[in-house]
Amino acid sequence: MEMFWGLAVSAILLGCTYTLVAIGFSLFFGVMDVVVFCCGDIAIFGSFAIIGAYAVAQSAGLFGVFPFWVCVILLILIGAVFCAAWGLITHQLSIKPFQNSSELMPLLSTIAMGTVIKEGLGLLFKPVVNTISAAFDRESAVTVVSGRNPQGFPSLLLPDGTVGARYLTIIVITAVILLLLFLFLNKTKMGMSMQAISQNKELSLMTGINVSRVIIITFLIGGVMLAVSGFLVGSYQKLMSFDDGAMYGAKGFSAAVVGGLRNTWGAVIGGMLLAFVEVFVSGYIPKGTAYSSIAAFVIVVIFIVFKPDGIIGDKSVEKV
Amino acid sequence: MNGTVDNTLEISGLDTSYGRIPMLRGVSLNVPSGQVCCVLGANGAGKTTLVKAILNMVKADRGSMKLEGKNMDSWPTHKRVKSGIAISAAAVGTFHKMTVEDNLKMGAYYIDDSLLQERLGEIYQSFPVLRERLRQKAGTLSGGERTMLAIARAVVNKPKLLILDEPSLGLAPIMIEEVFEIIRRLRATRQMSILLVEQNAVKALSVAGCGYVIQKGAIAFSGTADALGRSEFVENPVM
Ligand SMILES: Nc1ncnc2c1ncn2[C@@H]1O[C@H](COP(=O)(O)OP(=O)(O)OP(=O)(O)O)[C@@H](O)[C@H]1O
Ligand SMILES: [Mg+2]
Repeated sequence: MEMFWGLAVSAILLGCTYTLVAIGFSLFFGVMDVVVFCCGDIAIFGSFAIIGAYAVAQSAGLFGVFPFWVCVILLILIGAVFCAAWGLITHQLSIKPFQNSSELMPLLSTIAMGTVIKEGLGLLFKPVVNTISAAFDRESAVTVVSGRNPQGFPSLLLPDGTVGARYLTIIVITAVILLLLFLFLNKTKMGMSMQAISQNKELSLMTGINVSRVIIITFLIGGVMLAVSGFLVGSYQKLMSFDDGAMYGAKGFSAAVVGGLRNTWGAVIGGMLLAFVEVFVSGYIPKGTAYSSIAAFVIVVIFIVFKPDGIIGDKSVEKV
Repeated sequence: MNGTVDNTLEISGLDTSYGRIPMLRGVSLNVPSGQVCCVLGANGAGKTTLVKAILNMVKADRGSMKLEGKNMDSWPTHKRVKSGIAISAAAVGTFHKMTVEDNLKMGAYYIDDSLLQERLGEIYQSFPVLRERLRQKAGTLSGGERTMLAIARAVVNKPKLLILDEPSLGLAPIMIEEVFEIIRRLRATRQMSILLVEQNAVKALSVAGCGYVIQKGAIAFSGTADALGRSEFVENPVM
């Protein structure tokens, strides 16, 4: 039983990180009708922005000047600004130019954007060079210098607290973000406009919504969500690799599909479902770890076949 | 139809195209203030294209448009709506996952919160069908109710120019009667000018003061509704 609860906690934590990425996918899909494949990479970009900003802050002695929690909030804000900016860049460079071409174009171009982010991070973040192995082995020297090693993520979340407290904080942060998002989407004019565009773009134009402005704001907000998820992943994993975004994006996308792409709550349920399957398969099935991701993707395939509209479904689709 | 200031909408020499295929060709059209003008035309003649061009949802290749004498060629869609053009097109559908009330509120996008309740109250008076269904998801409305919602969503703005794109589409005769009753009421207030796009010529002419016929993207007739009613376009059903 103890194992069960341990696994359940891990699953919820993993689910939190998937959920936020999945929501990124569903927000973008809602307003643009395109799958923005670089969501995972943008989130990891956020983690690395925080790693980088942390190093700068440390060498500038910022941690001595301000209280620790102020520095942490500043770091997260920096991550958020970077990701929001990158969300915007993604929209301007790899989605907007292809608005009137085939639907496959933005798929390709966002995958390309993901590669740019990934490789950029790999080049930018040179790990502490392991001189011994580099001296012995030329090949690994090359790999090391081009930045293929994982980076440590700074302990920003309750560095003196217990692991349990840290995990609880991750869950609480996710819950608060989801609550804020819910209020934003349903109680503000901007949020309602996003929903309107997602449901009927032509009518949104006719009602006078400034659609291109709402789209830009969606990408900014989505970028901030992804930055938070990058922060949570970093705090949870402790070690970040520049190419984590690919798998992470694939999981977030799968969660969004399971939840029904346009549906924010579906993304939450999808993220949790995927994480539970993954964690429990690796926990209970002997040598299951190797298959955990496969099991998660099998779930996705099952959903695509049997419930293509997602877990919550969309029963009121209009007959025009 | 003369005098510049008296026209709510003035279009002159409008050309549009879909890709490289020309659609509207040299369309000129006026809607005098406080009047109802109808635009008749067969399927595919370019009526909806004209409506969308008025809102800049379809780009004009040539020509110019004025709203109450002000040139609006450079205005994006949202600015045209904000400046007083409202379109009701049932065929475009609703925000199907939102309630009827939220659909109306989205329609009243540029109305101040302080005014909104009053305006909605007026709408519920004129559209009792909707008042009974405020909490219902718009996607579950019947075709007739959806048409009512589409009209209400535009009228709530009290626009300078109300454009109705085929409001009778797919409705039973009794519903069509109700829709035209609403148009008559709106006309009687003389608060807004109306551009009524219809295939039902007899019905449209019964409320309109002036009329246009579009054929293959060009204006084939323009004049008073009476003249249009007596012309070959209405007498001869093959338009
Ligand atoms: N987005 C588009 N791309 C290409 N062609 C289009 C597009 N929209 C409309 N058309 C074409 O332009 C022509 C005119 O269409 P439009 O919708 O203006 O006709 P309409 O007069 O409103 O007809 P109806 O009475 O059937 O509504 C049609 O032949 C249509 O196929
Ligand atoms: Mg039409």
